[in-house]
Amino acid sequence: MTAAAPFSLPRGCLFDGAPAILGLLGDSPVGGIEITRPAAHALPYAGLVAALLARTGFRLDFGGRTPADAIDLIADRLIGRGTLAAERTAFAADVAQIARVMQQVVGGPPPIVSLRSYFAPGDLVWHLDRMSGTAAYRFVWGIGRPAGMALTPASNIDHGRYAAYMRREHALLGRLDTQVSVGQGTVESLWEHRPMQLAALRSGSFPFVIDPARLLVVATGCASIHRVDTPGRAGAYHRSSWGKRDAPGLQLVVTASADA
Amino acid sequence: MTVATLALGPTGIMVSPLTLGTAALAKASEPRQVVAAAMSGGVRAIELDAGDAAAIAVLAGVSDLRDMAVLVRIRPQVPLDLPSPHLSVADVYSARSLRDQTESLLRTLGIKRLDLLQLHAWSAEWLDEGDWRQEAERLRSEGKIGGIGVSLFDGDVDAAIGAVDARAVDAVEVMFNLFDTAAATGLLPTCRERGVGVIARSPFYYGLLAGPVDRATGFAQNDWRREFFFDEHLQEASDRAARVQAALEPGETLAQVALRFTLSHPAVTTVATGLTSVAQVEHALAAIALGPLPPDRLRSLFAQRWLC
Repeated sequence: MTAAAPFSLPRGCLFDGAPAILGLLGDSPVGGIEITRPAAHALPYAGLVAALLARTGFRLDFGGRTPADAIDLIADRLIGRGTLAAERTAFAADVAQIARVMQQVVGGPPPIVSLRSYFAPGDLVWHLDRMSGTAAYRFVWGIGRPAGMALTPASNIDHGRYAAYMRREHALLGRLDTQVSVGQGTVESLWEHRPMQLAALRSGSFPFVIDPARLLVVATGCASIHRVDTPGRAGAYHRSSWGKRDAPGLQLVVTASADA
Repeated sequence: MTVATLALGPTGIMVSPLTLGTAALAKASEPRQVVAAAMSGGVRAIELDAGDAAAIAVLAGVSDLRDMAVLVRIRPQVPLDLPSPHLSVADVYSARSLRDQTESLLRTLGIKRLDLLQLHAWSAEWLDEGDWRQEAERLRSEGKIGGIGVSLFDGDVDAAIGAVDARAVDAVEVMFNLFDTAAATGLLPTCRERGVGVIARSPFYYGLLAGPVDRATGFAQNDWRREFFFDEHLQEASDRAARVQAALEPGETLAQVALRFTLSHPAVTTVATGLTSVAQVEHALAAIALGPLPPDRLRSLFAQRWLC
């Protein structure tokens, strides 16, 4: 564990334990922290990750399934029944451990887990994750992606402008997500007629950001934990990196809430 | 003046190509004169937000309102800042709220029927949820409404395709203008194929396609557009409007071309726009009288799209 400088992203490790992680989150100037993870090629399930990433993009919310059942469901369907069984087991054990730690961080019910491998360009716009309840945190790990994500504090967002911007752009971003996911084109080709908006997706410099320099980038290869916006606590604004658009990685998302 | 009318989808309700929007009507210096000018000019449809008490107060004093098709967007039970598919339709538009709002408006406006009842900020997920359809059918069979429709949040054009395809609605209200042509790629052709009426709104993109807007003087302090058009938005929209204006042909105005563009799509039954002066009404009616734009002009104007 390393202490945070005044405006830098604290870095921790899942094995530091929930109290240490909570302490880092409390110290973070942006409501998020970096979590060190093994390099993708060094994972005991690197072959499984590579095989899944070679297939069409997918998303699965685990729902009531155990990590082992959920990973079997995806792998059976995408790369063949029973293939890479040992790697599936290793991956499921890792996911289960991450979920356990996240549950301990908030002291609530088992977290919500999902896995996806497609790129959603709407994530390039600064946004919050929202939940009801008292406190919630989200762990995000893009395994094998070439770039991380960025975080900025809620105080760096002009909320009136943000609302106006999203009133104009929200539905358009949703349609862009769909168009990209079904292979209608690249972000650049689909928004060629919107050069200013495309430039903002590239750079992250949106008109509602007060100080474009006041952001922190999660290092490539690291996972992150950020605060989810709840009625009682401001969440951390975040955005994906433009560098992810062609290689989003295998994204594991674990959301833990203090409330059932 | 006589203006040709068209049936609004399968309802058989006849509407004029121009529908008078009322969102800003109460701010007009002589709002009832605006309504009177529209009616005498042949406008036979008026659009109303059921939560707009000021506009309702204006219309409550209009004696000939029963000669107009009254197209109403009912008020959601919870405020919707964005499309909200995560909410259930029963939480947003319960059967009780459909009935209460309909009956309240009939009493206040002194009319026997709302010609169209629309659910605004429609989400595709709501189609088979709740009891809104059953209640709408009951209201229709009682003669209290003429039809049921959905109204779409800006840019969210695909939200209604399922409802149109299933013929679950009689009409759709959607933004369609020179800047936002998204509806032309899926929704409008589907409406045409299924015989569903289309109320195309915001032909002037909230005023930017009606003529130059100066930030310092263009929007009043209490006008919601002051915040919506933040500096970069106003600059880009104004620059793009100026490009359209620079390419106008002799005798044309930006507002007339914008209105005719929206009206030109064959799926569009009527164009709804807010008019706040008699002069604006006359200018809009003059544009309507010119009819649709020729196909080659439409093709070149489609290149101005950027909000889609």
